[in-house]
Amino acid sequence: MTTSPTERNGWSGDGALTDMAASVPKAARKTSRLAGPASTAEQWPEFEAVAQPQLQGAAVRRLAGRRSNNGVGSSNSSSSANIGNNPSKRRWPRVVLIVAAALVVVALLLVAFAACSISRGESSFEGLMANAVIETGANAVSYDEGKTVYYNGHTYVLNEDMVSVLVIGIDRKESAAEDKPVQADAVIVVALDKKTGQATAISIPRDSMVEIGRYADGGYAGVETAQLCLSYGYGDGYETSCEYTTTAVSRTLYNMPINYYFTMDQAGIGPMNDAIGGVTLTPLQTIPKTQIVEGQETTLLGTDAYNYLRWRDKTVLTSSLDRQDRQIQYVKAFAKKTLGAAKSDPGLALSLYNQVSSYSITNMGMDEFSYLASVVMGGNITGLDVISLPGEMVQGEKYAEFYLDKTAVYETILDVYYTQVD
Amino acid sequence: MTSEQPPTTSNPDPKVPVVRKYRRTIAALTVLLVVLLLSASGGIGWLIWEHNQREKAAQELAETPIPTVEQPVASTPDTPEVALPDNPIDFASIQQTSPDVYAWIYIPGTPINYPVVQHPNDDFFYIDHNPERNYAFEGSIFTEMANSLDFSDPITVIYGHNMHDETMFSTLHYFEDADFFAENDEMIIYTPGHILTYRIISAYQYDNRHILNSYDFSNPEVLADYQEYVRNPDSLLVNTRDVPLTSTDKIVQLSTCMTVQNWNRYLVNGVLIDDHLTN
Repeated sequence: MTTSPTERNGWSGDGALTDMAASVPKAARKTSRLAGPASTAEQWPEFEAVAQPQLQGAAVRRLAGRRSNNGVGSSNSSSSANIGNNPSKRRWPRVVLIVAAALVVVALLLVAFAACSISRGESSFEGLMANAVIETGANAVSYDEGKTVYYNGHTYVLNEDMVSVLVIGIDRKESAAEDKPVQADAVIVVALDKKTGQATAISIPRDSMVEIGRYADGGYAGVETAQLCLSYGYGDGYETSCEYTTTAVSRTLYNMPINYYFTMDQAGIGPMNDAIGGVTLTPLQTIPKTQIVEGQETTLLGTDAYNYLRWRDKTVLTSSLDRQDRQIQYVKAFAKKTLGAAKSDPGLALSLYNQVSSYSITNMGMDEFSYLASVVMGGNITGLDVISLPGEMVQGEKYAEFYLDKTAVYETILDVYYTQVD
Repeated sequence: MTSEQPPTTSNPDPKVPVVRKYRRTIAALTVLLVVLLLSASGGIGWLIWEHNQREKAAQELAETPIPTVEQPVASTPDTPEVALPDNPIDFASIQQTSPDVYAWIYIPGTPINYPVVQHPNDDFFYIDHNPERNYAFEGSIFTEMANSLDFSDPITVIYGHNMHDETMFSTLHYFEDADFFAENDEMIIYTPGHILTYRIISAYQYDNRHILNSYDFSNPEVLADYQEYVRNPDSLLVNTRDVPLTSTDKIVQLSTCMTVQNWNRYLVNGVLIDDHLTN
């Protein structure tokens, strides 16, 4: 088994460590730039990839400022330093000008170089979704690497404004109690259109039989077709596990880039739920040992929220699907309430983020989260569309196995990530 | 203005030579300027060198002749043995300068016409070295040690960079076009003593899993499943040709990157349909 090569420009070699999706950026915790209420806060940070050239320009301006200060300062005092010699007095401003001009030229060259290396395909917020439209020679064949898809007599074009966040629900307490690796119990991709703020959640049943990476003795051991929830267990229970599950989900969704993951331990459900004052809904099922009765509208608080989302009757084959239904219902109600509350309290999203941070693992920094939250808020969206990938639940040898309806998944991808143009 | 006014508060004591302070500042700034100029010219120089290297590679590619086979003279009653044609690739002379060259790949309809190398103990060497073993940004067309040198494996994976100037394997992307795929269905691999002809059966976007490390192709079930996938892949970017496969079929997969989504791959896949012996 070969070891993994290092990445290089635009072509990462295949191997053990790079078998996880290279699109998943590493954790980057940044400090919040949110100063206060929306009325006095500055514009939300924009995540464009071209920060570097601006920095260069700014650095140059500061330098030039220093230079000109010296130039201004010098004209007064140089006259006293000169022992009445005219040419040497004139020399200073000229030298200053030449050096300043040279610095500007150098800065321009550096900017050009930086722009070149950026355009070489560094993954940016925008670049991650983009597909290239390749310019080829006159006699060459043109191709656009999947930007356009023809299906059932229609043409679909990739929506390059999409950003995807994978939300994973885990339960460390349960896995410790049952002495087995932590599994990804809830797997929901939140696909967000950066331009419109429209968010669609794609819920993937935990028992979906998909190709997951197998890892043994710290190394890649191949792929196997198994329940999606098991992909998490092959990792360290933290970042590596999140990456493995993100890779498996991305591959299930026809290699759509999943930019971020946000994994939350179920222990955080209660605090998160209570932070918005509880969630009101009409339960789909009666949950034993709680006040939750099917059909009786109630406001979930604290451990009730936890139980509504976690409990399932393991003797029933479709219990994980029933639970998924409840999770989807809850997520929709939660989203609706949060979006409504966030209109009058823009800091709410960020305070929620901070509330659950001790229960969560993510590679999304506070800045990115704020940006995405602002996009959703700015789009005047009042609710979250949730799609559950359809398929068939089958009893396997020991465990339930869910077989996804491939056509439905394909069409879901076209629906969410592509725009029909004819 | 030859003003003889005393200086401002910046120099209270006229006797201290102010000129030294300014000389120091200018000196420091000059040093900074020199450093910046050097690094900028270094950067520009590297870009230019790299550009020249790629131009050279493209030039070499353009000048490489397309392999042609001269049919041997038909056998006469005096020479009952069928004479073999000469192999269009002169491996002996190529290997003088490029010892790791063991095959040649030519895909009609594309500019792909390259030697294939495999490093004896470093699978990543030819990612950024040319067949003469010099550093080269465009790398080589290469296979990894897991694949045998005679293409007898059920699945052989050949890698090449997706350059932005249509060299190396970038033109594999031509097969994204349905018409081009329909009109071009052949790839030819030359090895010492053989001309291997492959029928291109599919071209599709795939993820970046390491194929040979992901599957145990010695397991017939695994191989059959994988072959079925190559015939009928599940991808948003697919062209296929209906060609049935059996367990003894040899498949070659040509792998290159996508331009922006470089965690994905583009695979063009052929099945061996003819093995023509040569000298």
